[in-house]
Formats: sequence, C-alpha cells, structure tokens
Amino acid sequence: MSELKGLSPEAWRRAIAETIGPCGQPGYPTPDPLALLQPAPPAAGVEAVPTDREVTVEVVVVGGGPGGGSAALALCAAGLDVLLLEEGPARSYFRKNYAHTARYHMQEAGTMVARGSAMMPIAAGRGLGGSSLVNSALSFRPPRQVLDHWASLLDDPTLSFDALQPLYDEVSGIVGVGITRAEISGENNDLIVRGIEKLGLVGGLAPRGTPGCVGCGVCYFGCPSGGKGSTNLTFLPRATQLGLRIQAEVKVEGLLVEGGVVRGVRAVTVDPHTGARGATLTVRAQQVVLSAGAVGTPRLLWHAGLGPQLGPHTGEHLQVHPGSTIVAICDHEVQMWKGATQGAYFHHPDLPGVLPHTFSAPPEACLVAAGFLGDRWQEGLALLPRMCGMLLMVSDKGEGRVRAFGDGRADLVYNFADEDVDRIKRGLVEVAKVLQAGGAKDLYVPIHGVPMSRDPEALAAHLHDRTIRDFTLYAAHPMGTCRMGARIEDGVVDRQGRAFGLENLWIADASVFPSSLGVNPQLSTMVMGTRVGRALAARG
Amino acid sequence: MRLSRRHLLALIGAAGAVAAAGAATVGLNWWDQAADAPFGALEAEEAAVVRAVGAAAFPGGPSIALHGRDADLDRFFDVLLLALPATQRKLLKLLLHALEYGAVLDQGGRLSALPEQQQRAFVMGLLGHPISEVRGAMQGLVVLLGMGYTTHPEVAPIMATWHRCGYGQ
Ligand SMILES: Cc1cc2nc3c(=O)[nH]c(=O)nc-3n(C[C@H](O)[C@H](O)[C@H](O)COP(=O)(O)OP(=O)(O)OC[C@H]3O[C@@H](n4cnc5c(N)ncnc54)[C@H](O)[C@@H]3O)c2cc1C
Ligand code: SF4
Repeated sequence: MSELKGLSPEAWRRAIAETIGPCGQPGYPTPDPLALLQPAPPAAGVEAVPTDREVTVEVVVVGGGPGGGSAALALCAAGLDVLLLEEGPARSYFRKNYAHTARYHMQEAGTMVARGSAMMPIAAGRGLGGSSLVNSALSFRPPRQVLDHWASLLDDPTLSFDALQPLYDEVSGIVGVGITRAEISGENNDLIVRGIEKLGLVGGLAPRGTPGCVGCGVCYFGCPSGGKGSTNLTFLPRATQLGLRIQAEVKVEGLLVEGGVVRGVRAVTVDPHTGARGATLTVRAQQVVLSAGAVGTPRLLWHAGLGPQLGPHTGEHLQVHPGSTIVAICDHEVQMWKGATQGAYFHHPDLPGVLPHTFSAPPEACLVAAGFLGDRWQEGLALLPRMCGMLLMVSDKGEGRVRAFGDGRADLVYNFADEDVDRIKRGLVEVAKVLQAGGAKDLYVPIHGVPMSRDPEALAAHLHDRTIRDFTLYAAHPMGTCRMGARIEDGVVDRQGRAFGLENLWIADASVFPSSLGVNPQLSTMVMGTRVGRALAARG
Repeated sequence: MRLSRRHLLALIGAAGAVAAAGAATVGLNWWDQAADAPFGALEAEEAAVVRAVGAAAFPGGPSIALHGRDADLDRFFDVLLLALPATQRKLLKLLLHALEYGAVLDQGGRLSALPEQQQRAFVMGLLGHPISEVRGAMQGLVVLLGMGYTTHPEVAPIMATWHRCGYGQ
C-alpha cells in the first residue's frame, strides 16, 4: 500500500476504511453461519481411480483453493460440465497439532523454503479449500490505489477499484465476512485494540470470513468448529449443488498439449496417508483452468516443461508480503489461544504499505521465536499464559521466482528490497509501541542479535544494524507468479486470465495479481477466480 | 562445524521440512515403546544425538517436570523420519551427524557423550549462530522436537490448559 503515500489524513482514513468494505459500517448485518456454511462437498478419493483411467469433460480445474473454488462455482453456474482435481485429501484431517496439519494440509508438507537474500519458509495449504483451510481468514480488500493501478497498467477499467467492488461484495457475502465479534475476540486481540485507541491510530478488530467462529484460536491447525468460511464450506458445496464433480488425492503432473493447444491434463493418484503414487488419470477437456496457487501453478508449468512456452514471466515476480513478529510478555493473563486467532490490525500514517495484525502460533513455536529454550525453557513455559503477539507484513517491492526441481518440488528464490527491510524494522517499532500501550511489557523479536527490550526506542536502536539474514522469516502470501498483462511481453495471462502462450489454458489463482496487494489475499483471489470463471463461461 | 554452504542450505530445508512434517507421529504411541525396541530409521548413534538435543533444549523443572531427555524424542523423531521422502531423511540424518561431530570442535567431545551443561551450551550456541542457515536448521530441529515434547502424554494435559483446541481438549 505504498500507493497510500502522500494522501491527506482524511483521504488516508477513507482509503483504509475502503479496505474493510461495507462490513465496517454501522448496522451491517452479522453474517449468519447457518445460512452460509454448508457441509464439505462430496469428493472422490484415490479409491475412485483404482486403475489407470481416462475421462472427458468440458472444463477441468486444477486446485481446490479459493481461486479454483470460485472459478468452479462461476463455471458451474453457467451450466458447464466441470471436474475439479485436487492433490490434497478428499476430506479434512484436522487434529491437535501442527505436525498433523503439515502432513495432510500443507503443500510439500510445509517444507517449501525460498533462498535468495535469506532463507524464508513459504507456506501454502493443501486439500479441498487449499490455503483457506489453514488461514486466519482475515478479509481485507486491496486499497483503491492498488486496483486503480492495475486498471491503468492493463488498460482495463473493469479492474478498477469501483468496478470490482460488486465482486468483492459478492465473494464477501459467500464467505461471510464480518468484523471480529467482541465476544470472541480474546485478550490477544483486545490488548492491541486498546493500544491502537491509546495511540490514536487507525485500526481495530479486523474483518474476517469466519461467520461461525467460536474463538478457539487455532485457525492454523484447520478450524475444528467448522466456523470458518473456508472454500470447502462455501464455494465448493455451492458448486457441487450446480453439478461440479471433485476428484481429490490426484496430483496433476502435466498438460496434454497438441500443436500449441491444451487438450487436458495428466494426473496421478496420491495416497493421502503415505504419499504413494498410484493409478494415472487422464482428463481430456475443452478448457483447462490452473488454480494450483502462486507456487503450485508455475511449479506445475515448469515441471511439465511448459514454462518457456508461456512467456518470459512464467514463475517470475514472486511476491509474498514478508514481515516479522513481536512476541511480548504482559503482567496480566492474555491466553493467546483463547479468542480469534488473528483479529486485530492497525495502520500507521508514516508506514505506507505496512499492515500489522495479531500474531498467534503454537506454544512451542512462540517459545522458540522468543528464545525461551535451554536454561530459559521452564521460564518460558511459565510465561505462556501472559504471552501476546503481533506480526506485520509489507506490500513488497522485492520479488523472486518459482521453478521446479526435477522431482517436482518447488524451487523458490526471493530477494528482499532494502526499502522493504527498512519498513519491516520501522514497523516493528510501531508494533512495539502499540503492544506496550495495550499492556505488554517485555518485547522479544525473532531477530539475531536483538535482545529483549522494554523500550521501543531501544528496540529501534538494536534493529538499526541488523540485515535481513538476521531475521527469522516466514511468508504465507505467495502471489504474482503468472501475472496478468496486456501482452505476453508483460505477463502470462491476459486481463481475463487466458494464457497468451497456449490455447485453451486459463489461470485463476493468486498468481495472476499484477503487483503485491498489500492486504491479505484470499478475497482478491476469490474475486479473480470468479472473474476468470465468468470470462471463460462467456466464451460459450 | 565444517559444512559447506550448499549442505547448510539443504539442511535448513530438511530441518524446516521435518519441523513441519512431524505428522507421521500422529496416532502412533511413539512414547510408549520398549527402550530396546529397534528403531525404524535412526541408528543408535543418531538417536543419542536426538536425545541430547532434547535434553539441551527442554530441561524439566517447576512448570513441566518432564525432562527433554526422558521425553522419548528419539522415538518421535524415528517415526517422523520414516514418513519423510528419502532425500529429506538423508539430509536430516546428516544434520544429526554434523551436530555430533561439530561438538568435538566446539566442546571437545561428541555431542551425545558430553555432560548436559555442555550439550546445552553447544545447542544454544547454534541457535544463536551468526550464520543464518545454521540458526535456521537448529531452530527447525528444535521446533520439531518441541512438537514431540509438547504432545507427550505427560505434557499435553498441561499444555491443554493454555491451548484448548491444540492439546487434547
Ligand atoms: C498459514 C496461512 C495463513 C493465511 N492467512 C490469510 C488470511 O488471514 N487472510 C487472507 O486473505 N489470506 C491468508 N492467507 C493466504 C490465502 O489463504 C491465499 O492467498 C489463498 O488461499 C490463495 O488461493 P489459491 O487458490 O491461489 O491457492 P491455494 O489456496 O494455495 O490453493 C491451491 C490448491 O491447489 C492444490 N494443488 C497444487 N498443486 C496441485 C497439483 N499439481 N495438482 C492438483 N492440485 C494441486 C493445492 O493442494 C491447493 O489445495 C494465508 C495463507 C496461509 C498458508
Ligand atoms: S478462531 Fe477457531 S473457531 Fe474461529 S475460525 Fe479460527 S479455528 Fe475456527
């Protein structure tokens, strides 16, 4: 959101209010979970493909995340015969630890790490629902300046902020976006809100797509109450009611291409428990929609040897909203794991493009981040009830790229821009001030060489000389790797999501964004998925 | 520790991988096996390194009595390794060997044979190591073992008082 630079204070506040959408207005009705959330859709698993098989459909969609789910709904609503293929399990395996989540519901079992200016794990979900299974469902809209920039870049007024708002309204309605309810917010969010109010900043409880949230604080394990409006409980069941068929536990490994025209996909079954490969599934289709995510889509294209054919931007421009975290200790009990996982945010006028919001992670990860190990392990355990946290992400200027290793895993590179590192450091200082204004005392940052601090100014001094290699990093918002462009010289797909380099190929996921969003990407991914699905259906 | 940069990069990937991929343990009573039961993936020497890292990182005390040394983390790690692809399993085992012999240079003895305070000094030294890949690999390994520790049946009920959905409630 560096585009918010230079606005008058009123225009700045207005621009931020627009990122919340109508749910931030007084009188906006509370989303009704019973009306919105539906049982997960029926999906066939590996057992449905016991021997090698070939099927024919009108459209095949690869990937069951927000992009694939929304595209599939749009296609089915237009009466097309659609099959959705998903690598992850046919049902959700939510359990009581992250290890289990990683095995079943993280792409490459949570092992994707980008190299470049620093090692940075990059997370992406897997299964019917994709990353929405394990995300916190924060649901911001991009600022007017970002979308209007896209519209002018692509010379397409239908991408402007005003033109896209009806689509944002529509997808927000489907996932049930509402401001985090005070009764389930919890002290980890409430203390941030107190800090924001004390410092007179813009922010508060955040919009989330969690109409049935009971505030159990473990969105990253998968929602045990089924109260999150993840794609498996929203877009996919609606689409199956309109005829969508879903084959899960099937990994697409190649495209069927004849003379520059895509005729379908080649897939193999993957046992959800062991990862063992089984029978092959060949899907012949008139149109192919790739929605494997901003890592998964270029990984598949490069692994299939099609990267060059799709133009010079295939897998390029990886952006991820990198950032950092503060774990803080209060004098009072916080109970980080009681309340909405990530339910508060703020903006600082001097930090365009920086979006701080609540942090929460499993206890052992918090203790490692804060350095409570060895002689301090027991002290850390005793402090767990008083621990709170906040992270920040930046709308990145840095970027990287996605390729595929020979075995099909993602080969990721990401290089930080100095400007981003500077904004992360300055953002951490403002986060520290907010946490302290809300009641936190001791501030721990997972940055090598920065000791515990009780004073944000001292923290600023410690951060001054640190390089990005000192940071413990993590990113969960890959985007932009098959971006939209006006021509193949500018992007991989056109304004509608249709590939320039191959006939009958479409891309509908977070990879099509022409630039870093500056806000959490799930709503925008759903908007793009719907847009691409409708554009394809309109071709008849 | 004399590891090439290429190895270090691979190791952090592997350690991070395992830190996330510990799901293999779920449903298996890794903490409830006879002490002399054979390991599936670990060599005895590697298991001793895992125990040493667990002991160094998670000493018992007033908050939670169970000592990392006694938390059967070698069993946890063994089951976990079995579920990993061969490349990552190999890299992780390589990391264990690097730790075992890196301690000779740093502390004058193999990690598994050092007194606990020295084991701790070595492990904590790597967690704060100036090379980010070394820190990252060590943190990945410790987060992973932390998952094993916090889900041990003696620890999980205590964790559950803080983390309602995550540890048994
Ligand atoms: C931990 C975490 C927290 C997040 N928190 C938020 C948040 O609070 N708010 C927000 O707005 N965003 C959040 N995000 C980001 C958001 O969830 C993603 O931007 C969004 O889900 C992207 O949707 P997608 O359809 O592009 O890709 P994904 O959601 O990644 O879905 C891609 C799907 O394709 C499947 N797939 C991949 N390759 C293949 C293949 N070869 N064959 C078959 N299937 C394949 C994958 O298994 C996956 O299910 C978070 C993400 C993570 C990981
Ligand atoms: S906080 Fe808990 S109940 Fe609410 S959406 Fe997240 S996992 Fe579901």
